[in-house]
Amino acid sequence: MTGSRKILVVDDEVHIRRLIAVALKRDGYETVEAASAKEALSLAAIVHPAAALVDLGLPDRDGLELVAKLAAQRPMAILVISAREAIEDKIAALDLGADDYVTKPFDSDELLARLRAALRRQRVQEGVTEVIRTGSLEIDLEARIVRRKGEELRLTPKEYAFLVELARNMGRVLTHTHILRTIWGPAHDNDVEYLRVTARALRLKIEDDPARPVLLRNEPGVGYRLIST
Amino acid sequence: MTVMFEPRRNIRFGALLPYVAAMVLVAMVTGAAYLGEDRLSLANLALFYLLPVMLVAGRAGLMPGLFTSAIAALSFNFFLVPPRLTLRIADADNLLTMTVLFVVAVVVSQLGARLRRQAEQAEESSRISASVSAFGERLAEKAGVEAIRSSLRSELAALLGSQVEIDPEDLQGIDAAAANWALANNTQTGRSTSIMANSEWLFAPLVADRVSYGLVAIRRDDARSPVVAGNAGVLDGMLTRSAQALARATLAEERAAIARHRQKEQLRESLLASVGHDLRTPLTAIRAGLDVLREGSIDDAVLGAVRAETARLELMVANLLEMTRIEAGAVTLHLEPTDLTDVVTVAVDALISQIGGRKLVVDLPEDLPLVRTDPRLVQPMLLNLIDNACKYGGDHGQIIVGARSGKDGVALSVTDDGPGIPVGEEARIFDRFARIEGSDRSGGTGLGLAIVRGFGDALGLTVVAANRAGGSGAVFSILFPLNAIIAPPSSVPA
Repeated sequence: MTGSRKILVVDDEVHIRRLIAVALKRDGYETVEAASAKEALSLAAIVHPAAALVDLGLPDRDGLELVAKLAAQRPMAILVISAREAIEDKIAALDLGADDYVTKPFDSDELLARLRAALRRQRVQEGVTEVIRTGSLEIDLEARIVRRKGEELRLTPKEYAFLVELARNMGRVLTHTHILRTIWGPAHDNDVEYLRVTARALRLKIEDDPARPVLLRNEPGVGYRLIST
Repeated sequence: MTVMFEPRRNIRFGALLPYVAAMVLVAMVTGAAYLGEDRLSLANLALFYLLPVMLVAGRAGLMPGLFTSAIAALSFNFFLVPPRLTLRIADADNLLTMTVLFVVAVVVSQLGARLRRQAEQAEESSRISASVSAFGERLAEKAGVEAIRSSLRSELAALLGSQVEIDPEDLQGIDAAAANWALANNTQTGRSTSIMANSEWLFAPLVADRVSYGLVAIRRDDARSPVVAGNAGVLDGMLTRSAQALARATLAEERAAIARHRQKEQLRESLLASVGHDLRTPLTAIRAGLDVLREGSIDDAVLGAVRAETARLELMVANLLEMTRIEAGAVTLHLEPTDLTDVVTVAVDALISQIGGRKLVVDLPEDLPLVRTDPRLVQPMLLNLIDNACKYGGDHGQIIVGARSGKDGVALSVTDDGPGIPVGEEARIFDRFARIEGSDRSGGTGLGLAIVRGFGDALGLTVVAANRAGGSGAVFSILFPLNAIIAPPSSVPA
């Protein structure tokens, strides 16, 4: 990690590129703009950006292909921006190594928050963080203790594993399949019901209002994420 | 019906029966004449012989009648006219009696035979009209050109014991020529007719009011003629009935197609009109808001309005896309165990700018069961119901998003405290572009509720609209039936 603040913005729409660039600059980033996959790849090789924001609908190549190529040039955080409603594309992008996605039309604040979270994850992966905090939640990885408002929570082993997997990827969507495979093993790829039951149980313990969860969020059809606040 | 055309196995015996009967009857008359011979004259005795002639001719037709006449005359001569037991006739008087007897017998047998023929014809024509009108009734139950054609095809095949095709394809040579001739001249051609009788097929056009509605082709596998005197009438009657039914059905289908087309046009027009109006409203607000911001004043109220209008625009575009998917039948289902909490959370968050100053209550029980459904489709349904509640519930109203589990399943409902639904409009409200009277202020193309129903249909969910019990407001509910409810699992590895 070079501590680079350069962000590569890939979109064939000049207005969208400009607006994203303005929002990024306001937050202190430098931007490099590319209008095609080809341009994006050559720029990425020269400037070594810290992150890339990639629109999936590019004129010269499928955006998913670009995601795969950029992912090979890590370390680089990749955020996919897509007008496509198709959940399959989102899942494919995540599987190919994208850190997160936002759907057009998106909220600039949301985009910046996702970008910050993705960049933070990269730093976290380099060092080891023993305590992860979000909201009133505190996860002590070394002691294997979860506290809410300072009080220790009693979690089952699966609940703890689920929460830690999400916490290690704070802010990032983990697909249903990924979580099932990691926590329950490859034989349970399709047992989405396990996820629902465990998520419900976790929310009862970690959320202020389990009917309106703020921390543990589901993206219908895609997966779960733990929100960093 | 095929029974009529099976070869009669007892043809010999059946044909001989009248002749045997004639001989028996003549013998009986002869015996009786012997008994009355001393009291009656020969001329009177001769009259007795007309009885068997009438009986046989009337029952069995001309030939047995003539046969009876002949044996009656011969028996009279042989047994009664002197010299008896010879065929000679001594007396000229008796010769006359004998001759008159024969002539009268022949005439009587002709009369009898004619009576019989007339009775047979009457019976035949009533049989034909009965079976044709029965066919007509069966046809009347069929809706649509295809149903009529297939019913005609199968009934004709059964009636004639033949292969029947309607509008046959790939005909060659004389068959093709006969088929073309039949269609061009609206006349029957081919086998059993006088035109191109060498064809294996009999071609009969289905003609009503001089318009042809197809061509029937009939062929027997055993190369016999498919049409015989016994079924020609039924065949013609069936063809006529079918042609009339086809004419009616074709007309009805054309009318329905025109009506459908017109309705589609109307929908398209009203969609364009309302989309034009409804898209411009938020655009106008956004533009006006941007102008205010350009003048340098950062006003939170203006920013909020611009954001809310943008979200509204977003929902409308999404709705138009969803409607196109529903219209195109391109809705695919991905059913999975779903926590309705997730769907509610995402929908509420997406509409947070629309909800604005309204009070939103989320009322989901902790033990709400999971449902097997497609959350990607339930979410836009709920989105539109909440949006609808925002529109009709007033700017400071209360919106309750709740779920209840009962013995019939789970109901996910959105309640507002607006004016409610006019009585009787509860079902119509889901029609595309339906909008409650006098509520133009609220905007929205009316697509929202149509999408709720469209996706509900795709998912097999019932959507109901009702007025709030005890208080003003409307309740819209999505009902998940019992078979969509997932029982709490006994064993999730914890």
